[in-house]
Amino acid sequence: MSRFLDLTLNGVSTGMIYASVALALVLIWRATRIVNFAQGGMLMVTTFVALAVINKTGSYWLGFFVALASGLIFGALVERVLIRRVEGGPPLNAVIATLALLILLQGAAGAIWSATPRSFPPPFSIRGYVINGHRVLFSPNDLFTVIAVLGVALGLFGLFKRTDVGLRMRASAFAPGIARLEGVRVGRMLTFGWALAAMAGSLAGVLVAPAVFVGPNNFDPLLVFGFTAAVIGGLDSPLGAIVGGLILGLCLSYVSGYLGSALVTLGALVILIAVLMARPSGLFTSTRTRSV
Amino acid sequence: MGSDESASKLEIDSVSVRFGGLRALDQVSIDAAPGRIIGVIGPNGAGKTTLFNVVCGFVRPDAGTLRWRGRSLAGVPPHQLARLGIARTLQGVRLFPRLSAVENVMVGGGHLHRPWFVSTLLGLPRSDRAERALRAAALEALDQAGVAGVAERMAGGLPYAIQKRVGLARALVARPSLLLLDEPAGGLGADEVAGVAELIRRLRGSITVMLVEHRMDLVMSVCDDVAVLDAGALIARGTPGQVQADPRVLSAYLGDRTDEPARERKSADSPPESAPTGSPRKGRRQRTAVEGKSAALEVEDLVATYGPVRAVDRVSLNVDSGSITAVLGANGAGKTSLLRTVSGLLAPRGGRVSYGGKDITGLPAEEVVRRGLGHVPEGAGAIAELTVDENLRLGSLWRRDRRDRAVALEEVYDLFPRLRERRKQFASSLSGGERQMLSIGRALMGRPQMLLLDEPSLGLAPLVTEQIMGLISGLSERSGLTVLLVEQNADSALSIADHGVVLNVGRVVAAADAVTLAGDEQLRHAYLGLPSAQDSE
Repeated sequence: MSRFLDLTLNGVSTGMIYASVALALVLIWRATRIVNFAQGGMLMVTTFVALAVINKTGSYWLGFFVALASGLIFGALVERVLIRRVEGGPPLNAVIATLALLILLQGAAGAIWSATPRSFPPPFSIRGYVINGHRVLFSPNDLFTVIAVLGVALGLFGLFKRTDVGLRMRASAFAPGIARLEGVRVGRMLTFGWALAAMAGSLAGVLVAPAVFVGPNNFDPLLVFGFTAAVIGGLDSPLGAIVGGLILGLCLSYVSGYLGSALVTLGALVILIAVLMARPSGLFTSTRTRSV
Repeated sequence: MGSDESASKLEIDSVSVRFGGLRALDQVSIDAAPGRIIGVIGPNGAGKTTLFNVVCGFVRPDAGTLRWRGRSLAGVPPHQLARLGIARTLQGVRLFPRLSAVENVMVGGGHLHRPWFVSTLLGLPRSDRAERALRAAALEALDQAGVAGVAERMAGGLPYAIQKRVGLARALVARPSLLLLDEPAGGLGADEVAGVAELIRRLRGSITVMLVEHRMDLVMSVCDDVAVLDAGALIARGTPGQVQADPRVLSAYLGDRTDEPARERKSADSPPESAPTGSPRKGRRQRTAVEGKSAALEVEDLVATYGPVRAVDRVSLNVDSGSITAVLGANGAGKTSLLRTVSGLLAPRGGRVSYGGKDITGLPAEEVVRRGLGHVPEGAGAIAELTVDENLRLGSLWRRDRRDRAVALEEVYDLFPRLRERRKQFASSLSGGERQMLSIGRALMGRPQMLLLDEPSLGLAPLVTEQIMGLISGLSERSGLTVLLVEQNADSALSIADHGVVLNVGRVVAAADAVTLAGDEQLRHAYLGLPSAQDSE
């Protein structure tokens, strides 16, 4: 039983990291119908930036907030400079553009920081809490991970639901034409949406970095799992992204614990297929009928 | 073409279709006799497309039967129809843009010349022979459609009118006995329609043709029989001449002229003598017009296109400050495109729009609304994923004055108490009439001086339509709001308008004050395709 508890707790904390990446993908998909494959590269760069700040100043927290801020700026820049040119064109153009950016960022990071992975400090202890004499697989750092992702997610939900700019963003995502008729500058909303999404992605980057180390290709699995979580949740729903992340984190933790860690990637794909067979449009999407 | 032409009869027998609570088709019976051309017409929302989709197998009827050559079509999936000798064209063509015209047509005949899959895979001689036969048939079909010259051109680069003919050839290549045409004239200019009409006429006698069409000029010139649908029911059936003269058809298209309350309201409001063109027809209007600053909106030679289709063709009109101007015309006349171009959703290809004396041509929509020109879009204007409250607040967010936003919200709720009751509900849960109110209310949140209203009565019950027309009229009266109102329902629009403009195929064919227009033959011409002076020019 204690093993099950361990695996569950571990699944929750990794699941929250997947959820954060899924959130980044969902926010962009919902607003622009683009799957941002560059997200893995973008959060890799912001994590490198955070590491540089931490090494320079010795302050984890400064690095943490610089990562989030640089994510915001990076996201806005990518939308303004790259995405705006491929928007409205054939969907494949945007896919290729984001893939190109991913490759470009990985190449540039390798050239600048070298391909050797570097360690990244955790802000809190990674030794598990002791409960009834048993050391559980859940550390203060894991608790911070859960709180940080929940905090950002709640902040985003609050922004969308409670503020004027959130209302504008939702209107732009659901009905850009009507939003324009009501005076919403849809282009600005898209830029802001990309900025927020990239911030959620960069959060996942710094949270996962102590476990996977920082290198140009070290975050690739994170993108794959984040994408899987987003699809499980329905790609269209921010809440679905969080739930999808948790489901995936838990399932993979059980697979790893009971069946062996080599099966984790395979497990993710099996879960993805199982969910899509049961609900082809994901768990949290209101199904829309295709018009003839 | 088929050996058993005499039996090529389509029988639609008491077919009913419901979508949720909506009765899309109500016990409709139509039969298409062999070798004849039957047209199905009706105003927006009449059920034409639903009927078409029932015949094609896309929609399964809740009741009634379909028989083709005496055999029931129940449960026959769409892709099996080709084998039964039934072919259809699609609304808006939908060719494969990167295939040549002849390849597009070959797709339509694929089931006739199908070699064994493996022999195709291995490139055996048999598959070459089949391919050659198919290509020859496709070229013949292109020739039949009068576009053999473009056979090798890529379909995506062809002009729209030519694409439509390639689409027709794609249906003809299968040598069908029954041809279903979905808006064969949609998006075409008057001379191009004449060409399509000639093509369809040539099919008479050899193929049974059923066409759904908004363009009355085509229907009236090619069809042997016309069936008229309104609100899901068959209201008239006969030759084009009989149908044009049928009072039920006129009232379906122009609004119910026998509607007692509307008539009373009209006679009470309008002066007994016919008002001269350009002068306001109501007492209250004379007052507002005097204090108004002449023209609020001036449109000059405006041109707008959707790809190859010229939707707005050199339209000029003026809307006086404080007045209501109705833009009338059948489906596809360019009414909605005109509004979209004025409000900046569609970039104009030529001409000029000025509002309040300032040039706003080509200004994007989000800037136009800041000049005080609101636009209530057609149909589902309410954003379904947002609540009523959020929809309304969205309309005022561009305005700086936060306190006045709250005041505006209360005013709109006072105007629509029903919306106040539902303020926390998602717009998707509202009825059609409530959504329309929400759309109008949202536009009012920006405190516009002028409103562009696109078909506020679309899909609404007569009583609700009357309420909404009353509301628009009241707004104009109380706050001097200028209104440009696009409507298919001519009678209800003219009952509140000062002026009317009639569009046909993107052009202004008549403009007069509302009373003159209401009694004018011109309207019937534009709606029902009778020849008129303007058309023959």
